[in-house]
Amino acid sequence: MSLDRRQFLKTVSVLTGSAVLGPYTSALASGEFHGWPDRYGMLTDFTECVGCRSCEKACNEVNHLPQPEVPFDDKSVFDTQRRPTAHAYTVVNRYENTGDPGKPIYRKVQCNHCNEPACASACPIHAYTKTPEGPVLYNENLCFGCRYCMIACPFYVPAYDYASAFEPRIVKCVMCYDRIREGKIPGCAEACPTQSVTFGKRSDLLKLAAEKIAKDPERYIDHIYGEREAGGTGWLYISGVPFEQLGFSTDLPEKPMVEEVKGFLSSVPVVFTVWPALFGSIYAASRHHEAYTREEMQHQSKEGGKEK
Amino acid sequence: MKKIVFCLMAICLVLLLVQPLCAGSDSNAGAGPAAPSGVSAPGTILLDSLSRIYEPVNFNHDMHTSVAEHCSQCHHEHPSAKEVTCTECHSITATDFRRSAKTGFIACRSCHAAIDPAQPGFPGLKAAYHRTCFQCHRDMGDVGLDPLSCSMKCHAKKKG
Amino acid sequence: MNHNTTITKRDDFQAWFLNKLLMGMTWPEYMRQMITPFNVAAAIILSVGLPLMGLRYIHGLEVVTDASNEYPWGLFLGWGLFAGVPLSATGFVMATAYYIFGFKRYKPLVRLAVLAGFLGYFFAVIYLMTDLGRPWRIYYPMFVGFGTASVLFLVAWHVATYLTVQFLEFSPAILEWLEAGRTRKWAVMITIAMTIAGIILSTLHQSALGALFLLAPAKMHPLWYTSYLPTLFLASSIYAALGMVIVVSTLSAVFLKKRADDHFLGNLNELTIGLGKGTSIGILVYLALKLVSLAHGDAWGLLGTPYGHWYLVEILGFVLLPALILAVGVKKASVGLVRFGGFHAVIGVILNRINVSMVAFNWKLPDHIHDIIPHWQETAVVLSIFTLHILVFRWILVRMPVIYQDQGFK
Ligand code: SF4
Ligand code: SF4
Repeated sequence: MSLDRRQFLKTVSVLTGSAVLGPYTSALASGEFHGWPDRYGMLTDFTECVGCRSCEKACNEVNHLPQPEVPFDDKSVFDTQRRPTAHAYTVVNRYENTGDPGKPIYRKVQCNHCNEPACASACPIHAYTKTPEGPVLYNENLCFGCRYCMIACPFYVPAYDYASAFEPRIVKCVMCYDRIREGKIPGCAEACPTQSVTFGKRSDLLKLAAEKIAKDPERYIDHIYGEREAGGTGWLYISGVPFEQLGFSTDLPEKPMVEEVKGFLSSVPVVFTVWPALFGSIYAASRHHEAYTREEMQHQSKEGGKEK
Repeated sequence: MKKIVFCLMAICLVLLLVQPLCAGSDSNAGAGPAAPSGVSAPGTILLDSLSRIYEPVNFNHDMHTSVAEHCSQCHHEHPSAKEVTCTECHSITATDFRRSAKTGFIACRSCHAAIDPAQPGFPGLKAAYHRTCFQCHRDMGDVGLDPLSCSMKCHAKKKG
Repeated sequence: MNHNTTITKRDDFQAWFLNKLLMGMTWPEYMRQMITPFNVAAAIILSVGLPLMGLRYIHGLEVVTDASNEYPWGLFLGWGLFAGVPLSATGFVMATAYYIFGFKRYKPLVRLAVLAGFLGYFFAVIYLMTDLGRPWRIYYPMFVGFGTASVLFLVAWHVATYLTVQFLEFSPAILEWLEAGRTRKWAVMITIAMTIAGIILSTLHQSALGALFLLAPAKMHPLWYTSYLPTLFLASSIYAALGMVIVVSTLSAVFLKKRADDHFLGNLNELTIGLGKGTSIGILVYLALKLVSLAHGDAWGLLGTPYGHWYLVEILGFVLLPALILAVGVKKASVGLVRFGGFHAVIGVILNRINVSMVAFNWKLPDHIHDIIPHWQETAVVLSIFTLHILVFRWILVRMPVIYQDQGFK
């Protein structure tokens, strides 16, 4: 557990609120950071995807996940909408294509590797890291299983291993971080027969997506999902049909989720400094008042006694 | 100026020469385009450069030439051949254009290799193949409906 | 010699044991008086719930919780944490009123309120630990990893610290019971500091519980999601606490009458009216804030939908109505009506927390209402923990000087 100084300072200032506003706001300000420019991302082009589930299979293999109950070439899984689970980092779902009923649309679902991940801002133990390379990683050794990250993720991504008695953990796509480090590309991107899942620098992918849309406006709707949603995601999507038809949340704020709690968090040091002073003086005042009334009463009763 | 005239002439010649050839081939091979004669178009090709998970594809080239509208539907280096000049493949003389192809078509893999993350827009070999096939086979309903069709229609799954 | 001391020690211990733990009864006597309908019911509930909690350590969380990947939190937190913590603001509210603002006449209720608060937090932690995937790492946010931008980090720290604070606040009662006069003096001396610490920690974590949901704007129903959530949670916790003091004191006065003294029973009616007044004012403040937040959120249009109707049921039937009942009760000086209003207000707060944490969360998912109904295992475990809560509460009330004054330390 390496605790660097900055982290330590942050912690101390949050806890005590003592060094008050200064360090604390700077701790929060780390959220303003807009990410490493060279970070990787992915682009899924739903117009290219044919629903072969090769990505699911490849993901399962490279990440050594358990064999699924239903084989990867069985289309019956498309009858329901699935989501990533404790045994699958990614799943492909089928959607009806209203424009061309003969060609259903497939949507691959996995962690979006957000620019400022809500999961990471949720975790009380800092088990998540947004790496400079782009993938958002989770450290099982820190997690105590509160599942707040699952509450916070706007994309319903992290899954939990509810069946494990002693080692339950969060399970989610890691964008094949280790493979990236070795200079390879993620398993799903390598397996995709049409390269509808494309790996590259996020900045390049944004350009590519914009080019594709510009070149073929008939084929694509004019929106790159993930460019701005939830503060921007590492995984981008282009589609031939509106995204809400594919089950995407289209009402996400453009600010990162953590922005929603910054106001609250910044009140913490104020409470820590103002409250003791405020309630201390109220206490003093009420003590004084009490003492005063007591004296008064004694005084009165004395005088009353005299008069009698 | 001279060049343009020359090119125009060449094109006219090609058209003239190709016309009867197509008409002739109609009777035996359908309406598809044919390879320049002198170069024998392959009957079937074993596409095996990627066969890791699946068995190689036994590609019936003959049949595809008979249904494709134009070679360039698959061999897309032709219409947009910026890198490859005509003379690299053809000896362009007025009399002999028809028999002039010196080589076969450029192999897909000579441009499309492994995926390069630095060029995310450029298809790797696998995507180049599949996108080419899916131009038609998606509409034909062979792909895009059932993941099993990969092994049923084109390439059997490798055993073990 | 040595031998002798051991014997005396053992005798001492036996005497202490009979006197303190069995309240002067012998074992057979004690066991006999234990057989009551309530205890039998409790035993039945526990005999279902406790084994389930044990099974969790064989088959994982899925044995006890209905939680899923879409619904990571269920009744354990909805009831145990989100409803449990505001209802346990009793200690903080009463101690503040008594020690800081000088409402001296509430003295007979302060200890009861502090105990209710302490146990409420204690059991909130039990619920949390039942829900955690790896409860043995409960201390991790304190010592291992620091998620400084996390609201839950703040909640963890504050609940842990506040639990200690409340224990210290209640410790004079324990020390009186143990007849440890010297230590008790120390414990009493730090009361004011502990109370102020309690105010800081409580204002922050009560509101933080609301702030937890701020991180999920797109998953929450717009009628309940508002940037005022922290403020609303804090405001409602204050009246929840006052209402809860009415509830707890009523229950103690009814069921543990024999254990209470005149100081408690004799003053209770008058104090209840006072608490009722406080509660109704508290509710009105909360209601005003709630309306401001509604106006601010601009979600009026949704009031016409089923969720909107439910929202109206909440604020009219479980916020406004108890306030009115309490106001009438106070006006007529009717203790009965005030008590009824107090119970009603408390139920309203529980309803609100369940609404925020379970009904409003994920409202867009298909089958939502069906999915938030807990299955029997979860219900059984919640009931068991609740039963334990009552048993422990009763155990302390019948022994330690809470609703009676220890003559020696008066
Ligand atoms: S998609 Fe969800 S799990 Fe993935 S980085 Fe974003 S918030 Fe975290
Ligand atoms: S479940 Fe684990 S990773 Fe997720 S927020 Fe809780 S401690 Fe962090």
